[in-house]
Amino acid sequence: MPETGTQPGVGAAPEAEPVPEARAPVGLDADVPPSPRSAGEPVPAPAPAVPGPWSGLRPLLLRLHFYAGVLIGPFILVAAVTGLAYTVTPQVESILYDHELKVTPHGSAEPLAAQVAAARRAVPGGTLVSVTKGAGPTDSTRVTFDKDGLPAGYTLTAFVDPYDGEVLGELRTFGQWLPARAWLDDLHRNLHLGDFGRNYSEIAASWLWVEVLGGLALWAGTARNRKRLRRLLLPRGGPKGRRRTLSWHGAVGLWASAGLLALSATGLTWSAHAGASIGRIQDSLGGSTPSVSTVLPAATGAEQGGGDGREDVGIDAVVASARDAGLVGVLVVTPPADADSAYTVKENTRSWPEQQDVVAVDPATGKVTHELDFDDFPLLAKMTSWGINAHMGLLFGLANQIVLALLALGVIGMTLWGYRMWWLRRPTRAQGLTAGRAPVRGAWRRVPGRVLAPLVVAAAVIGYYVPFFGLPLLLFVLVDVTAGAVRRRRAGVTA
Amino acid sequence: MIAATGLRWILTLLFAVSAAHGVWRAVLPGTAVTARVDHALHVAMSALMAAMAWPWGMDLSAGPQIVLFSAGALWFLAAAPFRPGDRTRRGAVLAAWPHVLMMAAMAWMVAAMASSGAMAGGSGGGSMEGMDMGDGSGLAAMTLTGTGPRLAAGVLAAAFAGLGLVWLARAFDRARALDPAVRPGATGAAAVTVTTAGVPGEGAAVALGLGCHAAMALGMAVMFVLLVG
Repeated sequence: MPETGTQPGVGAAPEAEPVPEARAPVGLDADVPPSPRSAGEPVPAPAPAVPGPWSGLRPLLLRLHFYAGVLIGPFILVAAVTGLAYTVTPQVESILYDHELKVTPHGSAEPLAAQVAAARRAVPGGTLVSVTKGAGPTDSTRVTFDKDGLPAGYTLTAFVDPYDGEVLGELRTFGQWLPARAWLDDLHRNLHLGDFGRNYSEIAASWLWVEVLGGLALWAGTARNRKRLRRLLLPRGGPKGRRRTLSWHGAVGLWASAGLLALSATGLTWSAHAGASIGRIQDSLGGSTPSVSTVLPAATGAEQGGGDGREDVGIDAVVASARDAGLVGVLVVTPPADADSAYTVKENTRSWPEQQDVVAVDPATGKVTHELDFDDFPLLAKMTSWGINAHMGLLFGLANQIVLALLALGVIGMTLWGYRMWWLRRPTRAQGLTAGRAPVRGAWRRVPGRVLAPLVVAAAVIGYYVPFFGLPLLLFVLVDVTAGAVRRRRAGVTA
Repeated sequence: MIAATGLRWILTLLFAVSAAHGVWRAVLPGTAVTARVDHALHVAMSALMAAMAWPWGMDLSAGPQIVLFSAGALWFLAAAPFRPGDRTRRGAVLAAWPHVLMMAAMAWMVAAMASSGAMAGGSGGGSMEGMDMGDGSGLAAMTLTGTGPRLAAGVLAAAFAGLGLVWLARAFDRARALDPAVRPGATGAAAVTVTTAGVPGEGAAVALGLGCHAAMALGMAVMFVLLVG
């Protein structure tokens, strides 16, 4: 960070004076700041650069890691706690909504059209949005409607027993999510605070990767003895204290790093500001997710006549065409938007990475007019889909949920251990409640310009595209500069 | 002109700081006449670059700008051997080339935009030949379309990015060698501290000047990147 602080009694310390404390630390516990000082004890200014970019960069990185951890930590902690709760939603849903979701097979299934008709009777005045046909014999059919009075993005879904057309219940849904998942999803994304609340998760996602990469560099870059690898990978035992806490913080962080980077990246794609930038970059790289064309070929559709200006082979024929086209698993059928549009039928088995094909079906003929195979998606679009499903715990089912839960627990642990280390560094000889000492100021002075300049420009570019990284970083720097100036001023007055 | 509001303001701020620094240095007592001309040219360039980010900047007449910056390029080239300092004539000319390049690039940018009709006084007659006027959804509202101009803009963007990084690195190296208590114009006890340059505040002023040059070059690099599209 930008300014070198001085304390009373230090003033304009000679620049060349060696300051062992501020030098790149070595030894087993070298990646933590030195022992606490009393409030009045001077904190020497750092010496000029020492050889090697890493030895100069490390104190700067430590200071950034510390500040981001302390100030962004609450956002990351909340995201981790709400994310942990989110990981169990499939089990919560299966318990809470067992009556609506599951049926006992008896006889043969009713036609889908009859099931939809039953649902329409249960939701009078609703506009049909989609019909989801379950994959297995014990799954109910979901018929989703839009209806006046629902919040934006929400729909009303009727659950129909396919064997007798009985409507098992109606639930307010958000996309395909049932109320419990929708509530937790909203909590994780925006704390139920709407667009304003969405900023919290964007801040968390914008800084999680910075904390992870910075932490990895600090942890892996620490000089260690011959037990280096073991101490790198495994938390140490021994008496409670800062060393043990740091060991847990670092080792757990190392194991969780890949997953956390993936969560940060996928989280950013959903964010309002960085997400828009990522979308533009993805489009410019030709990696945008393709969509199926619902435009009907000429000589079909409206001009063929029918009750409302067109013929319609019915939803059962549409589903049969889709099955013939190779679609399997859970199918979501969306009715034509208007007389010139086709039905779309989409595979929606999100637990399996390949089952995302879509077809458009002509309502007049029941023929498939356009096929969109997931295999043909650009790699970036595939990765986006996999990333989203993995972030939501949908890919590969329970295994994904367990990994996410462990990652969430890891983040919670690392955040709390980080705060504990800060607490353990507090000045114990000072009067009253005092905060732990930050890593030494003026760390940037150790970094050669040829290293610092590209870093600053890179941070500026990233900060532009990821504004909730850039703006807090700018704020940190401004606050740090101001704090340094105030401290120097006080030091000058005292002198 | 830049369509993205945030980027437009960032660049405006960047160029405004550079312009303010130039004005301050130009009016500082004891400044040599040649240095005052240098600073005045930098101020003009910063101000017009800032204007170029805005829609109204496109209404400024191109002709005088092209003349001004062409003359500016010639000035830096011609005046280099006569500047005070311990450099050889050849060294002085070499040291001046970044400024010559910036002035010439500025003149070329204005000419390229004017010939496409994007700027007032151009020959394009509003047809925007050679210029793609975007719908405002991207970063820039216009980009060059010809291969040659786009290639030239790309090369200039890379050159200014490199130049900006070198200046920024030198600015950091100067600044990190300073005692933080010393600032240009500091008085009293703080100014007593001797900097590495040997004159109170001089090192900070040099660092600030290099930083402003870096801001200018990096800002120009962004503008040229936007022209490439």
